[in-house]
Formats: sequence, C-alpha cells, structure tokens
Amino acid sequence: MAIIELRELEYQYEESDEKVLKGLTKDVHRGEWLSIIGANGSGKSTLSRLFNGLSQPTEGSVHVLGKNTADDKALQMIRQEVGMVFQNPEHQFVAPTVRDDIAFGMENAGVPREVMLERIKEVSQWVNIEHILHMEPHRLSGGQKQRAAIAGILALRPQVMVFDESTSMLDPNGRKEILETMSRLCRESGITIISITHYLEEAFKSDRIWFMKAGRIEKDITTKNIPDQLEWMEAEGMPLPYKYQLYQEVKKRRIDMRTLRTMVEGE
Amino acid sequence: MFENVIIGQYLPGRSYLHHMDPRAKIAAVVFLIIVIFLVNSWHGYALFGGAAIAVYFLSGVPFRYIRKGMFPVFILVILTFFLHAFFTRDGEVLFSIGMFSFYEEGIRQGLFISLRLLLLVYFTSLLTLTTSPIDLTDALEQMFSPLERFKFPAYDVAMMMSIAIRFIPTLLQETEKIIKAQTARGADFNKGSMRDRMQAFVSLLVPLFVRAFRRAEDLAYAMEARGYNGGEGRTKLRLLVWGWRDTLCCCLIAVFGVILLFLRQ
Ligand SMILES: Nc1ncnc2c1ncn2[C@@H]1O[C@H](COP(=O)(O)OP(=O)(O)OP(=O)(O)O)[C@@H](O)[C@H]1O
Ligand SMILES: [Mg+2]
Repeated sequence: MAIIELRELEYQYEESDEKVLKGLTKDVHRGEWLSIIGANGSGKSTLSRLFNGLSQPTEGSVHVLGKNTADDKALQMIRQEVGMVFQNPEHQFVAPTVRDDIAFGMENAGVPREVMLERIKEVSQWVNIEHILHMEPHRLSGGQKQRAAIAGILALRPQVMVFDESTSMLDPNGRKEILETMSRLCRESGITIISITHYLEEAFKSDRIWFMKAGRIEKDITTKNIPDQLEWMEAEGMPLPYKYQLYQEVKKRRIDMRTLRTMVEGE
Repeated sequence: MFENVIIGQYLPGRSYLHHMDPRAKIAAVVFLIIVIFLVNSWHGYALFGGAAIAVYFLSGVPFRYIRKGMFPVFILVILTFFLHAFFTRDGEVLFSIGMFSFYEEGIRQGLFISLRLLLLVYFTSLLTLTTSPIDLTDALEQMFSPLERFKFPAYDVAMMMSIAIRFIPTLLQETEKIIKAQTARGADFNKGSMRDRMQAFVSLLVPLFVRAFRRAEDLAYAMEARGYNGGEGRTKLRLLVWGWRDTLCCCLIAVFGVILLFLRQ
C-alpha cells in the first residue's frame, strides 16, 4: 500500500532555468525501507523536501497518506507524519540542550507538558541518549546529535522518516549507530524509512533502491535482486562494496574456489 | 580584555539568587536601576551600598570574580567623575590645581554619577551571573508576551535570542578551525603590517559568513520540518516557577524603594 504517492512530479528552482526533477511517478510503500542513491546534484535533497511539503512541486503532485502536500490545512499533519533528519548534525539542533531539542517539535505541535515529559523519557531510552539529556550541543558527538534529532522526531509519532545523508558527516562509529537505529525504526517500529545516501553499502541494507540520475529515477530495484543488477551498477561507475566486488570478479573470470584461495594467499 | 567583562556571563551555582525566578530578578534589577537615578543623598547611597553587600552574600559569586569584572568599568567611572568634576561650576570652590578649579557641586555630582554607574553595572552583572541565558530569554519572553496584542513578536524575538546564544560556541569553534586552516596556509593573524593583518582578518570573515548563511538555510528547513510556525498554539517544556524567595525579594525591594524615596533631599 502506498504511503507517499508522487504523480508526474516536476520541480524547478526559481533562480534556475532547468528542471531539477523531471516527471517522477512513484509510490513509497508503507513499512518499507527505501534508499535513494545518485550523484551530486541529481536532485535527491530537492526530492526529499517535497515529501513533507517543505517545498511544493512546480508540476504534478505529492500525496502523503492520501493528503495533497499543496493543501495548507493538511500541512501541519503531514509534517508530523513525515519526519526529516538532515545531513549536518550541527545545523538541525535548535535548542540549548538535548532535552529542549527533543521537545521542540512537540512544543510546536502543542503537546501538553506532561505528555512531553513522558515521551522524552520514552524516546531518549529508545535511541539511548537518556544519560545526555541535560547536555549542550557543543559537548556532543555528531552521532549523539543525530540521535537527538531522531528522538525529537520520534516523539511526534511519525509514520515516515526521511534521512538526507544523515550519516555522511559522522565517523564510522556514528554511522553504524545511525544505520542500526534506522534499521530498528523500520523493523521494530514499523516506520517507513526513506534514506538518501552516496554509499551502496548502506543502500544494500534497505528493501528497495531508487537510482537517481539528472532528475529522473533511472532504476527502481528491490535488494533481493542485487546480484542481477551488479553489472549495470559497475557500468555506471558505482563503487561496489567489497563483498560484491569479489563476487563480480569471481563470476567474470570464472575462478573456482581453489584458484581463489591461492590468489588470496598469494597476496 | 573581553574575558574580564562579566556582564552577560553565567556562573552556575545553588545560591538564593540562583534559585530565584528570573522574572523576579529582572523586575528587581529594573526597579533598582530606576531607583538609583532618583537617589540624591549620601544616606541613600549608604543604604544602597548596604543592599549591594547583602545581595553579594545572597549570590554566592566569588569576590575575586566581581573585582575582576568591575575593573574595566572603573576606567569608565573615573572618566565620568572627572568630566563632572571639571565642567560643573556650582557651589564653593574647594581647591584649584593650576588653572583648574574644583567646585563642591562638581565633586558631589561626579561622585553620585560614578556610584550610580558602579551600582548599575554591579546589579546587572549579578543578574546575568546567577541566571542562565535560557532562563533570561524565557523570562523576557513571558514578560513581553502581553505586548503581543500590539503585534510585538515576543515569541520570535525570544526564539532568535536563544538560537543566537545556542550558536555562540559553534561560531567560536568554527572561528578557531578557520584560523588554524588559514595559518596552515601561511596567513598570520598576529604579525605583519596593518594591511597584512587586515587581509588575514578578511580571510577569516568571509568563510565565517558563508558558513553562517549556509547554516541559516539548513536551520530554517530543520525548524520548519519540525512544525515551527511562529508560536501559535505552542506549549512549553520549560516552566518558570515563582517561589517564596521571589515574593520575599519583591516585598523587600518595595520597602527599600519607599525608604529611599523618604531619604531624597
Ligand atoms: N536553492 C537552490 N537554488 C537553485 N538551485 C538549486 C538549489 N538547491 C539545489 N539546486 C540545484 O538543484 C540540483 C539538485 O540539487 P540537490 O541538492 O537536490 O542534489 P542532491 O542530489 O541532493 O546532491 P548532493 O548529493 O550533493 O546532496 C543541483 O543542480 C543544484 O545545483
Ligand atoms: Mg543533497
């Protein structure tokens, strides 16, 4: 079932004379983990901002849970249902401490104070930051800030969460933390995840991948079909994760296990 | 130089003043500042001095901290004193040095103004030393919120202030990073001619501004995505709690004001 529907979607920035998104018609399904991958400037971030009405399409429409994002009355509801975590952990931390930052979205939504306190406790435990609730942002690591941002969104009980390269500015540990959190969000809490990334490795963990190129979705594959798509990905110049590089080499050169072994030992 | 200025700095603690409601503290300081300008007798200033000492003991702020912080103000105070002493020519001549004569009224006014300045800076410093910036903005927002009826954007102003406060450490960290990067490329912020230094300074400012704009855009998206809509129907996590300390303080200050008015000449 579709939770977000894109129909004939086009987008053009006012200042530029070329369309950034060109005629996208796609559905995002409820409960899936969707990755969007594509080169710099292919329009991923622009698309992500259309998912919750931060921008409005120039042509076509976006429907979230059946509501058009162009409908002002539905916008507040849509923003609560579709949470967004951005790239730079520093630039989305609004409040003076972690606790206040988690509360920010709930305050905007007019959640009563007692409910806020309960939810802060609940979500901070869920993303494992209850020991740093009192801390100011400049004393936190990037991963901790991202988890605070996730907590602030979770507190609003969204059905969809969009991550726009939210791991790209983190160290390997932070990246792992956030990826695990995404996976739990999807598998345990049933939240629909849309994650934008430059890394195939991350995308391969999800259920489905959209490959974007110059404002179009070139390919839409489920990760079950990865092996069939590897050749195409290589031809496109995408760096495959090691496991798959090896797989490709072995397949291409028809290397049997014994030769492989002597190769690895010879190195 | 700047590390000596204590107005605007916060020193966490658990004193009587720290526990007070920021609204009561702001009201008290505003009241005291108005009253200071009405006091015109030595008795009045003696009483004020007593109050200053009492407040010092209630603040729990170390004395050396206050002494260090008041020092830059002294220069200003001495300057004001001499301006008044030189240019007010009322009353008897007390003494003359060369062609300058000092009049009784001049000295008197000079001292009064100096004392006013000192007390003003002192009380304001204690306010900010014992109140966290977040509490200050919260209190100011609440105190100005009645003006929202007259289209004064109290909520937005408070939001702006708290974001500015929140990003000060970030800006400092960034400045440091850029200085390091530029130094590695051969820029020198401490040596060279005036022109070289200006150039180094500009090379610092430009990336700082570029990043600030970039951040402002990101921040705007992040806030909008989390449903920020300018305060309508908003609830608050932080509560300001008015306690017995605050009522007591307000009563004492009112009595203090009345006594001072009686001591006016
Ligand atoms: N505010 C803007 N005004 C004008 N053009 C813009 C604006 N933001 C992005 N663009 C242009 O739109 C295109 C798509 O940008 P977008 O940020 O969506 O790409 P992206 O896929 O997210 O890239 P990246 O991987 O670098 O994040 C780019 O060519 C970019 O130059
Ligand atoms: Mg992007």
